[in-house]
Amino acid sequence: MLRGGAILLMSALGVLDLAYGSLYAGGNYENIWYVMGAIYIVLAGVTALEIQPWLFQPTILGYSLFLFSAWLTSGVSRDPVAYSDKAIEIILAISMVQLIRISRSPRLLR
Amino acid sequence: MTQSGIRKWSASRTILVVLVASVIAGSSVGFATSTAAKYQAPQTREINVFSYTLPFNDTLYRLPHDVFYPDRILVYKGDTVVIHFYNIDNGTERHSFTIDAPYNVNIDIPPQPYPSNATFVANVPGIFLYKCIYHTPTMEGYMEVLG
Repeated sequence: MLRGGAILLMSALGVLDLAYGSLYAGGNYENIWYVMGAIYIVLAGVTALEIQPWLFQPTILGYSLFLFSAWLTSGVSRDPVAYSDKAIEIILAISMVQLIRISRSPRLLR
Repeated sequence: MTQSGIRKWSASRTILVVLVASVIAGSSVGFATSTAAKYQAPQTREINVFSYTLPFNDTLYRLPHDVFYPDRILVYKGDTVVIHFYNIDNGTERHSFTIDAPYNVNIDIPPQPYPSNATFVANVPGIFLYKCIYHTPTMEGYMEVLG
């Protein structure tokens, strides 16, 4: 359930970033948005296939927090699409924290 | 740090390490981007300034009818400013383009079909009056140096 939600959020972020790059950024670092979106889609695939969750769950958490911090401190892209994107990113980070806590609980590690 | 070592980290340790590392890295990139966007590299700005005569009788109004065009110049601190001053007076009147300290620019020329030039680096921010020493107070303008 939680994993499914995270996959959905990453897919939404991927689509949103790709759309933002082509529709909004228009000549203003649009390639960065394409790369960010593509990475989210790849990470959604990796999560769906359950490849090395011990490695990719923290990677996804780190990636979402990295992008959010960079956006917050850079002062660029302050529009409704970017705000929606970042709100989803925070929900994704919270989901990943929950997933990491579940998958690394001492009971499961044994 | 071995792969199996990281794999056995507790959830809280993993979350804490990832959180601190990603927030530091993200903020560094964000601040760097913000600083780079605000930084304006010094440029050479070539500005053509003309004397211009307004269509009124200066004897009647007891004011010079000469003005500068343009009467506002905007540059950034650190820019190299090249002034090309044209005296296009129809008669024989001299005109000057003069800025006092700290820039100390003075181009003083008779009517001529080519400009006289002055080059300086705008290294002091502020608003500076430029004037024609013969035709104040009408023939004046301001150079704004953004710091």
